[in-house]
Amino acid sequence: MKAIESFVRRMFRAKKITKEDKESMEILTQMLIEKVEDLKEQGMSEDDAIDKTIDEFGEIDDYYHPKMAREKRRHHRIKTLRHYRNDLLFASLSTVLIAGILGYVNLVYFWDYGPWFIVPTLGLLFWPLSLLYALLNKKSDSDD
Amino acid sequence: MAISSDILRGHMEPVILKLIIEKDRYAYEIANEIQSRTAASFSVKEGTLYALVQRLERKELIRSYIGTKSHGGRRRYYAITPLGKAYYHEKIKEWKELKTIMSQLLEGDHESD
Repeated sequence: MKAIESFVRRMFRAKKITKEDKESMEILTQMLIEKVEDLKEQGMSEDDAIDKTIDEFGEIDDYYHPKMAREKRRHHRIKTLRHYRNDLLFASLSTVLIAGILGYVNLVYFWDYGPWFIVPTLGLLFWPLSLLYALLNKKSDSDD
Repeated sequence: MAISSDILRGHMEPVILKLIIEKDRYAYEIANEIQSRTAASFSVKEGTLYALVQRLERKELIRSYIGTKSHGGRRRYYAITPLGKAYYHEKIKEWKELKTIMSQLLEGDHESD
């Protein structure tokens, strides 16, 4: 019955578990196990019974309270915002690094052609800039 | 005919209460009973149903106990409380009124040309 337990745990994953939730989880696990037992008594194999039980349970939103569902969405949003920040950080550091290498090569080996490294660096800047734009958009989305 | 589950969802509480008033039942038994009584024309998602059962217990309209072994496994059975019974009768009265009003409005032959 590990499959049922982990199914229930997954459902509550995005939520801060209160004492009440813990109780709900226990009861829900029992409800689902009862169904699996019933199906097994009717002659179904355990694996099939578990599959059927999980399948007929429906979407997570069918179970979640509207309030709970809202909380879950909010949690999800913060997570993506964090992702956007990480993306931006990665792009900025990479841009600095690549521009630095280009500048070094330009200064040391190809100074005769002038400071040409500025041109690819300007192009490269669009990478972190576009991610900054995406991040700010995401931020104003989650403020409302 | 598949009726939108949203419409029926709002009326699920008295249905669950009625099934529990008939006799003490466990959660899957309730889901099963709904399926067979509607000849499978309506299946409420079990997730919705189980959430409702838990909510009814929190509102003390039903109470639960663990059945004895002779019931077949150790199942959590739900029984009605006096409060639940009162709430059920109130809802039935409401439902009958609504039914009368709706049939007066929708089935009356008042079409004019």
